[in-house]
Amino acid sequence: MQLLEAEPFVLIGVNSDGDAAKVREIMEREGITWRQAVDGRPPSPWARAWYVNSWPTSYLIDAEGVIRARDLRGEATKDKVMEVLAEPKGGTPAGGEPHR
Amino acid sequence: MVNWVARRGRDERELLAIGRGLLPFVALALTACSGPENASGSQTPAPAGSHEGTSVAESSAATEAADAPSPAALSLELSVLQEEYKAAERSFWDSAPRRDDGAFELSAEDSERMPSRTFPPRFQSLAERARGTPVEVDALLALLDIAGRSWWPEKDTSIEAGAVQALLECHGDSPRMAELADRLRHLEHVVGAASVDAGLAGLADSPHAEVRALALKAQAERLLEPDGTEAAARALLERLQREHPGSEPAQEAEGLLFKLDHLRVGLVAPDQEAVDQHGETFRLSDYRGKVVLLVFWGFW
Repeated sequence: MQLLEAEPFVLIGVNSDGDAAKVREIMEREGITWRQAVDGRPPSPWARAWYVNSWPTSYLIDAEGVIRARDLRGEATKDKVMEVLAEPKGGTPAGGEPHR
Repeated sequence: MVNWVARRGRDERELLAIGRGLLPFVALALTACSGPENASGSQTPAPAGSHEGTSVAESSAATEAADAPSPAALSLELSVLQEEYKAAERSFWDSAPRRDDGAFELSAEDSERMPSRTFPPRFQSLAERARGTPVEVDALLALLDIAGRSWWPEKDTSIEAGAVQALLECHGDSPRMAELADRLRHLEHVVGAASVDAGLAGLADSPHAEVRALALKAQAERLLEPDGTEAAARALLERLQREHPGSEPAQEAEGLLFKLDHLRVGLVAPDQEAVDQHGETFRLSDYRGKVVLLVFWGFW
């Protein structure tokens, strides 16, 4: 993920372990540095809104806010992120609804 | 034929109850579905009660074959009705009001007079009188062809749904089901995805190779439609909700259907506020312009 630091890419975690102190503790222990939404134990707001019922679950969202993939695993994650990053800027991908 | 009833996904308990209640009249009920062509008894009595509203009285009436018009007369009547329908279509659209740019401008009353709306009940009534004969199949297929031409979200599609049901349950073993196998997936808007899938699954077991082949092709085509596998999932979830209302799995189906509708690849992600590990609030939309990998995780 170091590789991606220069790119317009962010990794956001939605953590379901508990409160902010608990999340900070786990982040330190695991060496996690990226931003976390502290969602609390399920059923929690984000997990409910996204109907997450298995963890981990991932969604890849492009620059236009359109969901481009879900439940990516391993190498496929990096490949798909690179593929979406490589797309020309502007213009909603096929099938995407314009936002705003 | 037994498979039909099991696969149709209708309320089987209801069907069984009707079956038990009609036990003394099974022979009569059989007549309601199978007519002269099946008089040899080659069909099982499974379709008993499968026509909605089939009553003992109706069944009794159906046995009074002496009063029933002959198949040839019914066949002629169907031909006349089809010609009448074609003429009505021509005359309706020839005289339909148009705007300056040539586009049709139909009032609500005009729409109600559209032959594709007024003729299906006549085909239905002919099919009822021809019950159990090949003319019933022709009339129902013609009905579906016509009714499928006009559709709007609040349309009452019970005639079309009833036609599909009667074809599958009473004529599922007929070679004429090739036409239905070919057309069924285009009738999803009138009979629902679950019925299309159940119907095609049944047709894939037809005794006729042509029907089986068309059904298999249609099943594959449904999976190849955009989000085809999701359409199949939707059909199962809708069936779950219909057959087991109020149950826990049906309640979970609600969430899964939401996921299909709103969390699909290609749709804009829902936006929501979050509090991060330092207590700062942010929204997903703060990251518009960047590619975001959102990972739901936890160790608990």
